[in-house]
Amino acid sequence: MQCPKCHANMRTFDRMGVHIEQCDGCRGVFLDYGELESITRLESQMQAPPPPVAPPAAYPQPAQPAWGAQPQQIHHHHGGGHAGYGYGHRKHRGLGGLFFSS
Amino acid sequence: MRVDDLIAAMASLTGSSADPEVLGGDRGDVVVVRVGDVVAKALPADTDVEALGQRLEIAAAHPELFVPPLGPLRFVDDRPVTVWPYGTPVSQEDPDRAPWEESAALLAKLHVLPVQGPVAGTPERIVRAIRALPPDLPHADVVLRAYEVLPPLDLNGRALIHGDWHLGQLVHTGSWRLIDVDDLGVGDPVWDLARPAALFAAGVLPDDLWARFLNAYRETGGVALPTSEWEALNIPAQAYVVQMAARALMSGLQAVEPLVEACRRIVATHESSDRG
Repeated sequence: MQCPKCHANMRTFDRMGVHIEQCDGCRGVFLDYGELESITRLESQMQAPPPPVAPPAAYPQPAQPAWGAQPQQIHHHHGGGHAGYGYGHRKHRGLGGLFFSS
Repeated sequence: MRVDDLIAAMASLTGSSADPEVLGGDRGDVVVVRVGDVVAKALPADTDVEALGQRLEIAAAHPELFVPPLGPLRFVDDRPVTVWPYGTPVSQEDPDRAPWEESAALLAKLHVLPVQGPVAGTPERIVRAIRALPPDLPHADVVLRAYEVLPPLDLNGRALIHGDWHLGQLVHTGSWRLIDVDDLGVGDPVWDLARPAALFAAGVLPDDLWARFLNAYRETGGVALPTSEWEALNIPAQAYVVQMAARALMSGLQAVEPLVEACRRIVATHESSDRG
């Protein structure tokens, strides 16, 4: 087809599933019906998701001593056949009792 | 004297006619009885009565920190008995809602009081619990080995300390107050923080609860800790891990695995630093 503005030849390009015609002369672009909406939709999908908002840290993460329990170790226990303990078991009766006994 | 007779005699000391309810005393050496709004606690006959009297005076002088005793020391036969108003204990159902901040603030305020009184019961009570562990129990070898690798527990700090702090040592009587003065006295204040530190290091106390406790202690002017808390807490927390592991092995009531695992790590840490 010919460019409606400068009457030079237009060439068809396929951009991510959307056909667009671009003029070899003035570089103008012609869109068929619905193609603008398709491009807008693609654009919104390509935008990077917003970075996850970190929960407000009321306190800095407390340090463990060299011999302290490591979180990985605790996760390992969750997966295994052991009695799980650690951060995921806040109300474990057998352990919570340790907060209360001499 | 049979325990039943002791309980009846303790109940009559309170002056209340309500039915006595035994709150603790399965160990026999200490019996705690609630009668209406009053609690009586009978201690072993070999208790240092002079030190206990001083401890009661400290509690009576600081009602902003302690539940004050109801009257002086009493006796049933040769057993000293202390009498107290009843307070609501901390619920064990939800550690998130426990008074971690209030506890830390009470301890911080206690630690800046004038340093006078009997010698605190800790670390002696820790050592006693470990020595009582029968060596042939399963895992006792690991626990006793962890105790062996610890350096001496005589620390340099001097302050008035509770000596046996945990969440069971708080009751609500309009506001949260400390109870149990039996180990109250002069010692290193780091001992009052070392039990929760030990539970955190063992992976039992969640990090946010430990952070709440630690930060509230510092914000209330607590003197026990340098900027890097583990410089002061390292060995005391290890001692409490060993003590709690020993008690858990003996009682069989608590999940002992995280404490025994922490004992293994304590042994490994000391053995690697000895080699280095």
